[in-house]
Amino acid sequence: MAIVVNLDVMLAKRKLSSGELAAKVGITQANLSILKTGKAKAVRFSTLDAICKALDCQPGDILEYQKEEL
Amino acid sequence: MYTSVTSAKLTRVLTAGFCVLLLALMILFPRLLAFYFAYLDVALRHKVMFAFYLCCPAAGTALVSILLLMTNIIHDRVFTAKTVFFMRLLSWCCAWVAAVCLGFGFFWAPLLVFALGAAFMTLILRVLKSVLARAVAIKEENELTI
Repeated sequence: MAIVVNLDVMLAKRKLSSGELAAKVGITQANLSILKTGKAKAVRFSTLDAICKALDCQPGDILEYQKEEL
Repeated sequence: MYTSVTSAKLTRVLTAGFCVLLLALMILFPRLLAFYFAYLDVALRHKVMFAFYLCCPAAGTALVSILLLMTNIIHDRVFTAKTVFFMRLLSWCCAWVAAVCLGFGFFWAPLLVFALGAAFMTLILRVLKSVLARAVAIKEENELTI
């Protein structure tokens, strides 16, 4: 998929662990891992809202579009 | 109380019964054929018997598939790739029976009715398999929606 989720950078900036973020967002660590490893097929706006609130950032700070090479 | 699990268990019991029936038929078929279809000449009876025994592996495979499918359903493993595989296998078993009955129907016409029935079952099973495959894909997408 061309959409890349860059959670690690923001987690490091805010000095938060994956577990702490998962608890703040209200999702399981397994689901957060799915998001971090690029296996997620879709993200709900409510989840994105909760992540941005927890990390105090913009969606563009954690979502990146990388053109796929044909 | 009658639930979906009870229903699946009942289907499993009935399928096991059908397995026993199939085994009994495989043993007794020549005698039953000689008794009920004595008016047929020996050569034709042999052809019908051959057709029946050609269908037996497909019937056995179908029954085992149903048993395994029902076991998965009882253990809440419904929308999985394995379920789609069993449905596909069931459709191929019906297709095999339809093909055998169609081939031997040229020797004994009543087999053409079985061929038609089996072909229709194949069609229904193919449609159900497609619906299930799509359901599995949608479920996977939902599971990977965070």
